[in-house]
Formats: sequence, structure tokens, C-alpha cells
Amino acid sequence: MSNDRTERLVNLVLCLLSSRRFQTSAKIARTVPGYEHNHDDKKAHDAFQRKFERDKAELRRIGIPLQSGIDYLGDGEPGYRIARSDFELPQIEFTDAEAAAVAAAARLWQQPELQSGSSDALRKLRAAGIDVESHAAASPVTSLPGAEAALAPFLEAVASRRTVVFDYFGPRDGAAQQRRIQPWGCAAWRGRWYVAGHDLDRGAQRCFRLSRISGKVRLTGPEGAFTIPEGVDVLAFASASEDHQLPNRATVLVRPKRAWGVRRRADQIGPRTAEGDQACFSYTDTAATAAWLASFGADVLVTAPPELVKETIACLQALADEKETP
Amino acid sequence: MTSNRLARLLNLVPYLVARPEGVPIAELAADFGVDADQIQSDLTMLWMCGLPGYGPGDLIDIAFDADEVRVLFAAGMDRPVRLAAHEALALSVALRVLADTPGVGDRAAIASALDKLAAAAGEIPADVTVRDTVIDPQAERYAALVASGHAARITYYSASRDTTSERVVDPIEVVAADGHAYLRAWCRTAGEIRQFRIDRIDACSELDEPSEPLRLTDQPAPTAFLASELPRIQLLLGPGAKTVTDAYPCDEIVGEADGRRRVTMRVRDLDWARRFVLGLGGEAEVLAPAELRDAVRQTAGAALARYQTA
Repeated sequence: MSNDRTERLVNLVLCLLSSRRFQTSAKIARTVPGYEHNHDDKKAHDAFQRKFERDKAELRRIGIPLQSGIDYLGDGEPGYRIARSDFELPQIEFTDAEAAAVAAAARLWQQPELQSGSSDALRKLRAAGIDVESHAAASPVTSLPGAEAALAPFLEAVASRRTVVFDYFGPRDGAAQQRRIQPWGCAAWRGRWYVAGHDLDRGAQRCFRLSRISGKVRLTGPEGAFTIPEGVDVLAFASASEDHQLPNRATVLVRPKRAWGVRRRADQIGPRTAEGDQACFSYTDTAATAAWLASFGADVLVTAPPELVKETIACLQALADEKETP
Repeated sequence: MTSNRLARLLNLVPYLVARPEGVPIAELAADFGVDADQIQSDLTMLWMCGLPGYGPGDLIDIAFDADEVRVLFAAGMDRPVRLAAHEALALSVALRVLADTPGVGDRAAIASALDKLAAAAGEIPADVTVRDTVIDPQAERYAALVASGHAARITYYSASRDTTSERVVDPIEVVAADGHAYLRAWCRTAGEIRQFRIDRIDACSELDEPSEPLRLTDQPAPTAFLASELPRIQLLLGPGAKTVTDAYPCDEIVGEADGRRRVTMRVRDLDWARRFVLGLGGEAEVLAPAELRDAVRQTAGAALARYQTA
């Protein structure tokens, strides 16, 4: 934005804030420096209109709501104003403990958009004379469920009801596929972020784990493109999307005093046979469990179920088939 | 960028109104996260803005004396702009994460801070739920250990080595990631800062001596841990091993024509690397060193032999 535009916008804010009456765009054009033009010159007037529209959008973007209406004393033309009660930060006071909580919250984000969002918020609070950072205490716990780069654009899309497009690696997809969704909301569950919404290509509701998104999330189409159904519970979608697999039971033979990782995971350590101790545990992801079991090498022998045995052998074959050192 | 400037300009005036005693330029610059020259040019621009009429009595008036800035006429901008949706959201989501994390002090204060923020922002346009950030019930106990300020003796299972060992640690903090809680501590045995996954701590006893994690600043880092002296390995990763490069620091990542990635990384030792490669379930091919490639192949071969005789 040019210096001229910044200056014009500050003046526009002050002008619209200074009066309770709605001011027509013609009056604004005559008043605020930077908008002056010959009203009868159609080209110049169109240029003004476009400029004014862009400026209004910019103000809305930084959180300044413009009201439009008709001034009862005016000539019936619609006009604009900024209501002081919408514009100003209300009086707000934090106790020391609340200020410390807000300061700790502002430090959680590592993702740039969310980080700047919270530091801008703190700056506004500071401009109102509230310095939360002076209350920041060393918190014994710092935590953030994987600060996913995709969270900020999804939150923006949910807020503005815009469609999003992104590439997604589903748990069973070999390659990322493009998805188009109308996002309804985001949730963090067990330390991971999810977004749920209406999948436009599949014509059904879907839930996505943000860590499986590859590349950038793009917002497309107009604002207000959809409405969010009442009572949507994103958390329920998230837990359902992860829990749909029923756990299987694995049985493996573990060599004495070896493979402690398997022993720790086992909920049942059975009789010792010639080949080792029999350990049983529950699992859901066959491929991941097979790879994990393969990492114990000859210290474990998987005996059941057959698909886990097969998958473990496949892992070991892939590992053993590496070319010999010349 | 420049819309940041607009937001800053609209914030500067009420900031000065709230501090009628005056603020040094350097402090203003630091508080607004820009340099002093930028603040100077912001103030100069504000000086030219004001109320319709734009005469001497209508323009924002700012006084500079002895490097201190005061506002004399604010042209009606006495209060900062209310929080924008994305600002309120960034803070409120973070507060919800805090509220959902064990060991974070004052839950009631977090809840009331959330309410006050919502009131200050008007409507928060996207609702975000946070639950079960850490599912480990022991996390509270270790947060209390950190708060006690004492060192502790722990029995820890290391998954990457498949061994259990006892060590004395100086706790620093509890951190949560990927649904697990970790105790970050100075490990006196290893002589460096380590993260211990709390569900892998099999026993813990608080010691009578203070936790002194800062001992690391007292002594030079043991040379054994200089990255340049650690063995270097090179792997060819298939598409299934895509999280490796996120989870481990790599020296170099090169995309190959077939979609695989050639990755060079430092490892603690080759036995760790052997387990690591085996755990990738055939998604990684060892390019170097030959010693590692042979070790992986032999381990897998020996395991396979058991299935063939079974």
C-alpha cells in the first residue's frame, strides 16, 4: 500500500468516526483528501468508486466494520459511518492470573500467521494500557498440538465461509489427491488438528487431518458461499475418522531378555516356548506395526494374525533384498 | 505489509493517549516491533491526518520533546480498534490449548480470560474445540516435579535402543506434542538436554537436591556430541517414509527422478541407524555407509530365516 493510500485510509476512518450521521460517498469524496475528483467525469468517478470499494474492504479486513444506511436528514442517498461502539476495543481488565494466561497463550504459536495474529492482538491491548507480557510467568508446561501451517487458512475460510482447495494424502492414498471442501470448523484432538466440512467432489461430509495435507491450502470463490449446519461437532468427526478401525490382536514370540519395546507394549506375556516368550498386544495399523516389529530383527517372531505375519515378512524381504556391497 | 502499517498507525495514537507522560521513541519502536526510523515516519504521517476541515485544530497533534513522544490531540482516536477476527481467534485457540493441557496453572483464570477476550472481540467467527491434547495421565505428576525445582532419578525405556536405563535428570519443563507429553530435562548421564516421553518413564523418584539444568552453561559441550563428529548416513526414501524428513534433522534432501528422496543425515551411532532403517519397513534403502547396509541386510536376513524354519 502506498503512503498516499495509508494516509487516505487513516483520514477515512477519522472522518467516518467523527459523525453519527451516515455520509454519502459523494460527500466523502469531497471531504477526505485523496478521493477528490470531478464527479461529472465518468471515468474519474468510476475510478473513485473502485478505490472507495477497495478501501472499505481493507478496513473490514483489519477489523473495522462500516455501517451503511440512509441519513434521515439527507437526500435519500445511502451513506456510511463507523459506530464508535463497533470500532473501539471495549473496556477490558485482566487479573494478574488472566494476564499471565493470555501472555502464555500468545507465545504458543510458531506458525507465522497465528503468531502475528496474537502479537497484533497484544499490541492492541497494550495500546489500551494493558500490558499482559509483564505478567508472563515461566509456565511449567508449553504445548501446542503440531502447529500446522494449514490451520490459519482454514480458520480464515471457516470465518468467511469460503471454499478451500488442497492436496491430501489419505491414510490409504499412494499419492496426494486434490480436495475441494466447504470447511465447517477445526478441532484439535489428541494433539492433532482436524478440519471437517462438506467435500464438494464427493458430495458428502468429510474430516481431514491437517498433517496429511501436502503443500498450500488455497481459498477460492466468494465469501459466504455456504452456511455451516447447526450443531456441527468437529471433534466427533475427528475421533470417528481415526477410530473406525477395530483393533486387532497380535501374537509374537520374543527372545528371552530381548525386544523390551514389545514386552512393554504387551498386555499379556504368556508361556515361554523354545522360541521365546509369547506376547500379545492390540494394534490398528497393520503396516506401521509390521515395520515396528521388523525393527527388532530376529528377536521377535510374529505368529498371528496371518496378515501381520505376511506384512512383517514383506518388510524384512524388502530390507534383506538390498544389493550386496560390491 | 502496509496494512500492518495502517493497523500500527491506528494503534499508535491510542497507545500514546494511554501514556500521557510520554514515551521514548526507542521504546515505541520496540513495542511496535519496528525500528525508530519507521516510527518517526509513522508519526510524521499521523501528523498530516485528522478531522474534516484539516485545519491546524483538526489534525492529530504530536509533541516530540527530548526524544519523548506525547499526543496532544487525538482527533477522536482515543481507544484502539477492537480485536479483528483473526487476532481474537489466534489468542482464543491458544488459550483453549492451554486450558486442555495438564499442569497449566490456573484453569479458572484461563476460562475467564477467554470470556473477556470474546467480549472484547465481539463475535469470534470460527469455533474451535480442543480436547485430549495430552492423553497421558502422568503429565500432571511431572509438571509438579518441574514446579518442585528438584532433580530426579528416572528409569527410562529408550525405544530407539530397546533398552531401559537409570539416570539422574534436572527437569526443565513438560512439553506436549503429537498427543504425548515429554519431560524436557538436562540428563546428567548424557551430559545434554534430552526429551523423555512420559509414558516411557518406568519409575521416577524426586531427589533432595535442586534441579540445575543450567549446568550446561557451566561446562563446554562434550566433544563427543559435536555434530561434525557423528557418523553420516545416506538413505533413499520411498513415498511411505515421508515423515522422516520432518521428524529428524537432515543435512541434505535431494529429490530423485523416480519420486524418491536421497537424504543425508547425522546419526548418534550406526546401531541406532540400523534400528531406525529397519523400522521404516523397507521404505528406506541404505546408500552409505556399506557397513550400515550390511548390518540392515543381515538383521533382516536372520529374522527371515526364522520364518522359513518356523
